[in-house]
Amino acid sequence: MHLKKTGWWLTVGFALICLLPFAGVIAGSLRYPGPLPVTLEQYGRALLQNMTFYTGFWNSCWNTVLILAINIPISMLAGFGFSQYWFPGKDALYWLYVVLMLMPFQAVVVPQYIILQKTGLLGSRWAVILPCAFSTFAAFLLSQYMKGISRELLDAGRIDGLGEFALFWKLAAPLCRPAVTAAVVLVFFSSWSMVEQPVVFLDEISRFPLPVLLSRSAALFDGTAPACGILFSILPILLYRFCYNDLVEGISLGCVK
Amino acid sequence: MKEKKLLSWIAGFLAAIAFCTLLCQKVNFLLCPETAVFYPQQTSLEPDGAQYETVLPVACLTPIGVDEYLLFYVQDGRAYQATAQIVAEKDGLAAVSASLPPDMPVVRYSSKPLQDGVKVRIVEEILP
Repeated sequence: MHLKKTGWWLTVGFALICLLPFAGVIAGSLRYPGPLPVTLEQYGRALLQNMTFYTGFWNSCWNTVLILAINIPISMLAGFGFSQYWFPGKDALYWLYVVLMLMPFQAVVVPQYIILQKTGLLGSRWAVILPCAFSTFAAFLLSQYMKGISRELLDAGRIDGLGEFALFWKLAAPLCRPAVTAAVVLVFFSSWSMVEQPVVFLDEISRFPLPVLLSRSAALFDGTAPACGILFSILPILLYRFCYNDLVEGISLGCVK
Repeated sequence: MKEKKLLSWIAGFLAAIAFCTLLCQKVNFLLCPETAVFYPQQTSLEPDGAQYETVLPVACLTPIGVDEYLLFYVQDGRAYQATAQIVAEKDGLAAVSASLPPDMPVVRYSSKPLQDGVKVRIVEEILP
């Protein structure tokens, strides 16, 4: 009983430590030079006077939407292919996918930089979007989940006259909804808070997403950076709030086989 | 049902941000000081006839000390302050020694007091 109580207090303590930075940002966003100790002036200034916030916010939005629009359909098809078909070199290719997934950005930054430079994309929005749009994490997650789809079900679909793409679209894709949701949420989080790629591949401030602007050019925000950070966190929190169950189910069923 | 709720929340949030973006653009436009600018010239000032690198109207300069003046130049839509000394002066024009970026316009009039780094809108370019 005593051990249980100690564990509970330890958990609460660690949770509070984790929440401390966010609480600090919230507290910071409620202060602004002036007579009032607590004020919403930062939010007012961020929302009504600071175009830098909107430039960064919409850049982040476009980057994230385009990355998701390319990455998720391709990953679903790749996951279906890896889980349901056999083809020469499949294992080697899958192994390559896993290795690429485990590689940190710092390991691939130089080749990516050279390729983007040669293709003339360096400095454009696509320099950030394309490398992330073809990341292999979602394909790995979805292929692990799709391995659980029963072969009999797909065979029954074939007997009923469904083509291979129809099998994927009408049978496999609906069954994988939790995994797809998990992939969308995880890719969204990584794209939304992307910092390294824009710093390396972009040079114009007008193309930077908000996390980069907040970390590099705090002076542009005229003292409203904490409020901008809070406003920027609303969308991921909403997504997490509504997708929590699917996220947990997708990750747990996808990765524990 | 849950997806609909999620989509409506996200759509509502994005719509609110889009509305605030437009509002912010309008507010910035209204709050942004309007300025008339002058492009400093390389020219000679009579009667000595010597060539000076930077010649501009005296009205661009605000005295801040003995033989020291303040001026604002515009770069990337923002006004930045610089200090200058008058080297020669005639007929409302002054040759100044100031470390200005090349080909940057200097503020001649402003609808509001300027501060270093403030965004400005150029509404008029004054010809020499």
